[in-house]
Formats: sequence, C-alpha cells, structure tokens
Amino acid sequence: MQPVIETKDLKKYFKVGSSSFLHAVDTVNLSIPAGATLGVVGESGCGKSTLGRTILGLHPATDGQVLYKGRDITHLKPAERKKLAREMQIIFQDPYSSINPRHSISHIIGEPIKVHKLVKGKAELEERVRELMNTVGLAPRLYDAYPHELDGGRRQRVGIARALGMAPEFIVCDEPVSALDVSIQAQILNLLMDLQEKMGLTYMFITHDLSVVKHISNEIAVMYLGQCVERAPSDELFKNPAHPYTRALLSAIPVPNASARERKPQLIRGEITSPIDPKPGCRFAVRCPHATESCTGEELHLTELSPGHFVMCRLHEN
Amino acid sequence: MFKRKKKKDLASARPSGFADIWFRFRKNKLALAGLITVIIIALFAIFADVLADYDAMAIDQHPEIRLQGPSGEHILGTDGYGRDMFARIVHGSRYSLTFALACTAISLIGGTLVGATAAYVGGAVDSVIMRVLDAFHCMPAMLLTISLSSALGVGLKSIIIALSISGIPGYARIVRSVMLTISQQEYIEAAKACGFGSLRIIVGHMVPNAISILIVNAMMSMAGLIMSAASLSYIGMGIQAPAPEWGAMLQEGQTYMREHFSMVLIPGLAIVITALSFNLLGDGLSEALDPRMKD
Amino acid sequence: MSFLDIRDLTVVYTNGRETVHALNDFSLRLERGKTLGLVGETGAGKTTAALSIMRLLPERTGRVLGGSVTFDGADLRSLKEEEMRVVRGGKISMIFQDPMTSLNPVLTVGEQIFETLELHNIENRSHQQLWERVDEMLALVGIPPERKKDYPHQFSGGMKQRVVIAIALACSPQLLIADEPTTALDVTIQAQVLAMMDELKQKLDMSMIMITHDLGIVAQTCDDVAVVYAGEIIESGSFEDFFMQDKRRHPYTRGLFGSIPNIDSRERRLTPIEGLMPDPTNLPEGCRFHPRCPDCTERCRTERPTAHERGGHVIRCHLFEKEGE
Repeated sequence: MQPVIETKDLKKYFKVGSSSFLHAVDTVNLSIPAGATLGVVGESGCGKSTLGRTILGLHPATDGQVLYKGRDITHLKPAERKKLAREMQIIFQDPYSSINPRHSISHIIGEPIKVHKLVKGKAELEERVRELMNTVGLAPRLYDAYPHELDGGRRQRVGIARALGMAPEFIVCDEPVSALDVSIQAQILNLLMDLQEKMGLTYMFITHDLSVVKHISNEIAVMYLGQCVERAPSDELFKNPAHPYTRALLSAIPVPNASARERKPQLIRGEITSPIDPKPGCRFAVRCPHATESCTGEELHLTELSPGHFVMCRLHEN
Repeated sequence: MFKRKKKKDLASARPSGFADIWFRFRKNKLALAGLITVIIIALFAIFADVLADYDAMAIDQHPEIRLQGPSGEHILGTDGYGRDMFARIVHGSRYSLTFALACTAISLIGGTLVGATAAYVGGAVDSVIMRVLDAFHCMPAMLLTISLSSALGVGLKSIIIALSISGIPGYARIVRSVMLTISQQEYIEAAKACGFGSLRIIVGHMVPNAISILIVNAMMSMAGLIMSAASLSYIGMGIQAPAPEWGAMLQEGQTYMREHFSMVLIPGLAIVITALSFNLLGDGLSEALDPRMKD
Repeated sequence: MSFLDIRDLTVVYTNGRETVHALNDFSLRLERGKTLGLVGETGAGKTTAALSIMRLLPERTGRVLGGSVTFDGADLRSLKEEEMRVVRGGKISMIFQDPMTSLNPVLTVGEQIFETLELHNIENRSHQQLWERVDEMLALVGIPPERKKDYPHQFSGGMKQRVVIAIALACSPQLLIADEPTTALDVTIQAQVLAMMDELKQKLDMSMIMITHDLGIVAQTCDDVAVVYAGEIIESGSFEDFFMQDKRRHPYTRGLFGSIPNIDSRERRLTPIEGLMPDPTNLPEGCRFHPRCPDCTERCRTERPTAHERGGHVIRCHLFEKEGE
C-alpha cells in the first residue's frame, strides 16, 4: 500500500552566522501508511518540530524529498501549496499562542472553511462550524466566545476543530498535550484516537514524552540532533530498545508505581550538544556509555535489526 | 506558573474583553480624570462656535475693553487687544486638537505601513527601511519643522507635514517590533498552515493584535504634539496671529506678564492640562489594555 | 508536633472584583528528614501553599484568612518580618520551576551563591571562607568550581537548575521546597537532577516538599504523598498507601492514575477524569470534586466531606466514612 507521507533523505539546515549551518533535520527517511500514527520522539532541540513543519512545507526543505501519496511536494508553487493545505494540517503545542486571541471561536474554526470555499453561504458555514464543535466536544454556547474565556484543554479542542475543518487526511500533531494537565491530557489523547478511527486520519505525533506515544502510535521514530537514530513498531521499541539513547530515554521516565524505587535510571552524561556543523559520526557518542573510537569520524547508517526495526549505532552493525 | 494560570482562570470568568478593559481602566483614578478632561476639551472644540462667536469675540479688536480682569461678561477677562480670553482659549483648542489628531493619524498610518512592510518582507528591504528611518530619527523634529516651514511657508500645513514626518520613524519601529513578535506566534503559523494568503494574514491576524499598543502610543504622542504645536507658535513658526493659538497667546501675554499675570497663566494652563490629560489617558490605557499589568 | 505543621490554612486572592479561593482549610504535616510529594494539577493551590509557608504571597492580592503554619516549633504566621527573613533562605529554601528566570543575568553564578551566604552569615565567616563555601556548593551540585565566574547565559537549562539548587542549599536549610524543579527540563536531564537531589537530601539530612504534577516523580523520590484538589488536601498518606496495588484511593487520585500515560501498561485507551478543574472563584457546594466524580451521591452535592483517617492514610471523601471510624 502506498504510504500517505514519505520522506527521502530529508534535510533542513538553518544558516547561522556567515558560514555555519544548524542541522535541524539531517537525512531523515520516514514513511507513514494510511490510517496509522508515527510517533516522533526526542528531547528539545532534536529537530522533531522542524521535521513536522518541513513536511508540511512551512519551512522549505534544504535537500531531499517529501512525498504525499507518491507525489513529490517538496517544492510546490504557492497556489498548489495552498490547495494542499486542505489535506495536510497541524495541531500545535501551546493552546495559548496557537489560536488568535482577537478572533471568536466560530471565526477561528470557520475561517479556513471560508477561505477554501468548502461551503456555500453563511448558514451552511455556521452549520459546519457547529458540527465541528460537536465533533471535538465543545459546547454550542462557546460559538461566539473568545479564546481568553477558555481553558487550555478547550483551546486545544478549538485548534483540533480548525484543523479538521478542511477534512484533511494527514495531521501533524506537534506536542498537542504537553502543555495540558494530566487529566485533560488523557481527554485530548482519547479524542485524537476517536477522530482517527472515525475519519481514517493519518497522524505524525511529535512529543518529548515516550509514555504518551506508546498509547497512540503504531510506529515510533526516536530523534537525536536532527537524525532519526532508531525506528521500530511501537511494541518492538518498548520491548527491545536498541539504541543507547532510546534506552536512556526509556529508563529516565519516572514511572508512577512502587517498583520505581528499585529500577535505577541509566543516567547518561552531559546534555545535548550543538547541532551547528556537527562532525561526521554518531552524534550521541559524547554522552554514550558504549562509545568507542569507531563511533566518530564516519557517518553512520540505519541497520535493520528485525523487520521494521532500524537503528543507527555501531553496536548493532553486522 | 501557578500565578500566571490563575490570571487566566480569572479571565475565563470575564464577560468580554471590552468590559474587562473598562474595569481595569476605571480603577486608575488619574486616568479617569484624564479621560474626562480630554472629553471636556473635545466638547469645547466641537461646540466652540456655540460657546463664543469666532470673529466677534476671538478676532475683532476692542481697544476700549483691553486688559480687563474676569467679569460676568468676560469670564477669563480680555487680552491686550480687548479680545475675550475665554473665546480665544476655546477656539484655540480647535487648533491644538486638529493639529495633534492630524499629525498622529498621518504618522500612525505612515509608520504602520512602513513598519509592517519591514517586518513582513524582512531581509534587505528591512535593513534599508530601518537605516533610512535611523537617519530621520537623528534629525531633531524642531529643526525639521523650522526648515520645512521656511521651504513651504509658515502655517498649519507645514508644521503638520513636518511633525508627521518626524513622527513616522517612531511608529514604524514600534510596529515593526510588535509585528515581528506577533509573526512568531503559533497562530500565524497556523494561518499559514491553513493556506491563507499574506494579505489576509497581515490585515486579519497581525494588525488587530498590534492595535492596542498603537492606541497607547498615539495617546502619548498627542500630548507631545500639543506641546510641540504650542512651542512652534510661541517662537513664531506656527500658526500666525491673529489666530487664537495657545502658544501664540502665551507669547503675546508675555508683554503684559508683570501686571496681568493671568495673560500667560491661562494659555499656559490650557497647554499643560491638555497635554497632561492625554498623558494620563495613555498611561491608563496601557495598563488597562495589558492584562499582565493587573496586579 | 510535626516538624512542619500546617493547619486549616485558608488563602484567597482578590482583585477587587473576584475572589479566588486558592487554599481552603489546607492541612499538611511533614516529619523531619522526610520528603513529601505535593501532587496536583495547575491551579490546584500547590504553589500558593508553598508561598504561604514562605510568607511570599503577592502582597496586593493574596491574603491569609486563617489557619496556622508551625515550623520547628515556631509559629511562622506571627513572626516579625525581620525574623521571617532569617527563616527564609536560611532555614527554609525554595526552588522554582523555571531556572531561566530565577537567576539574575547580570551577576556571575558565584556572586549569586555568595550573596545568599553573606545575607545569612550568622557565624560571621570571613569573605574567604564564604568563597570557599561557594566552591564547595558548586562541587556538591556537580559543577566545576572554576565555573563560578561564568554568567547564567553560559549555562544550559539543566546546569542552571543545578545552580539554583546550589543557591537554595548554600545555607544548609532544614527544609527545601522544590516547586516543579524539573518540569522545564528534558527527561534525561530531569533524571540527572532528580538523582542528584535524592543524593543531596540524604547527605545533608533535610526535609523536602516536592511540588509536582507528575506522579512518576513522586514515586521515585517521596516518602509521603499529599494530593491537592481545588485548594484542599483530598488525600494524604505514605508512599505505600499510594503506590502499592489495590489500596483504597480517593476517586480523584484514582482518576489521576488512570489519566497518566504509562509505559508499563498495555492498554491503548486512557481513562481520563471527565470535566474540568472547578473555577476557583466559584467552587462547587459540598465535595469540591463531585461534579467530576464517578461515585458521586446526593450527599456529596450538599455536604462537604471531612478527612477520614486510617493508619495515617487520610482521605477526604464520604465513601470512606465508615471504615475510617
């Protein structure tokens, strides 16, 4: 089956200073089949948000390709890009800054529908907006409300309704729950899963929290400093994490049960290094407990450990 | 974190943005006084002809009643040419307000266009615009006005043009920095992701969010402009006699200052009170429009 | 009496138009040398509780209406401001969530640690001795002492939080209040900082209140747990009471556990708590949690439940009334 989204050696560099480049996304290969969810996990500065935005064309790619249903959409003309916006959408992290404080809820949800001329006339627009509000669980009385009257969870629902308005097939969810309280987080996660089942949506779910993606993803990609260092089906990744960074991430998550005391996290040294002009070789090597000389100096490639489980690490070559 | 959130909780209970601004504004008594004074002065300017006939009372000279003190007929007395001081002050408010409003409007619109262009287009265009504005900024407003007045002739028109031009760089800077901040908000990215065009994003999404800051700045600059207009007339570069301009009245009054102190006191007070009121109003608005200033 | 004993503390914020009921009959006890996890969602009143202990509530809006705070035998609410200043930073220290804003950008980190030491210099130590202590503190939190001459912007987020911790611990406080100390940090850095705090706590023999929304952090670091909801403690008890299986729990606590994405669980769907946090300006009658509670009865709507204790495990819920007796 043809994947909905595919990236081929996708690169996004930002120029810093006169001759340096920040490698935000470096040679990333992904593919997401229709109706599935790919979780993209990594810590701040790993390029996961840039990856999502580059796929959507919000940032122009430096090199490589983005394919949407087999069609190359890396370099589209503005008019074509606009048309494609109907099919590819994004949900943002911060419910406080992602909706315009000066617009009413009905305006925020209705504007894209109006701009893309998806309905005829005012009555039909209102009907569509109300239907969307119902879908995401917003009370009808909020139709004329303004964002400052809403709490974080409800704002996030507005953001979801806005994205759904154009009936997209693919949605990038950029940390949609990390700014929310736990009890609200679970509500939004369940809503996203419901919508996926009902509408057959394809998600790319970006987060720093491995425990969140476990619930929603079919496949997970772990990113470190712009590179995808491990990719595997969700269960497989949690059962057999191969990359030392993935293992460190997994063990660093505080688990809310009594066994938490016994399992000491495998601490990794130091902090994320600079993504500006990285040297060839494993970018995690400076923090890695298993690093050897062979880890640096030469670019690494993904190795397939088992069907669908890829890792970029010297330990697992051969 | 908790404190910030709590304010949002408070905000969620509010009926609407406007009532909310009014509530915060009302708490600032000085700002309220400023607002009331500004309204009264505006009413004077609007109904000046009803209060006192322009030609008969503010322009025609009556040497027989010159330099009289306050009386039932002339509540503020008369000046050195026997003109009614009250009538001249009331008509003078028209000059000050028209002038300040016109200058503010022109520099606001000009500044917004220039600043928004610089912010949205960015790159080389941004740099060129900003450097040109810097050059303008270096020229003292008074000097610019004086040179323009000598080029275009002395009068209301040249000082409006001159002070509007010198006001543009300030607004352009503010608009540019506000727009740059707004353009980094996620809702602008969301609008782009929805496939909206540039014009819709600037006019529909960015400008409305910049407006409150512009209003506050406009109020503040009104005060400065009223002072500038008076100073220019005072040195004879502004509105020419016999027009009842406050600065010009102050200058005329100087001659009689020793014996008739009220001749300088009255126009002086008019200038100070008007400028102060706009300042207080601007101050109050900036606090009221920015919820973060609340406690 | 406990080391720290808060009884029926009631705090409101007013802005002239509305009153936010931040803490309502908030009671909490902490024993010497123990770590208490104070768990709750945004706006529950966790930070207000910490600020009330420190007497740092915003002056113009915050007001303590009643209750007592006793620390090490002293009634903190009746201390004079000068006496309170000795307690603050000297006996009780607090670290805040955001390391980026709690350091002064124009002073070197060494100067900032030094400043705290100088302010609480009861033993009249010389400047040289104080600078030695600065080095000691930096080494303690895992920062090379020669970095004391660096400014905050030269440090990464995790390192800044270490500096903040060094400042808080400089005067060897007896109680450390940590308000979401790792929320702004990445997980791997969070793990480093938590491990360090755990080590320091044992080394320095101090008590700690760990304010957090993350039950995982509580499970890892705390001896006792208290859950805050709408300004009151709805459940408190030991680590075992909370994290051993099949224990009795307040319906809200149960909901919290159900909402957390858990890497150990096999389920795909989470079971969230329905509804939203109550509006603190307009708290519901009866039990504060009743509009969201799956076990709500008629009585819960009208009558405010009292705290029911069994073996140190306190639950404020009508459901546990009989067994509590």
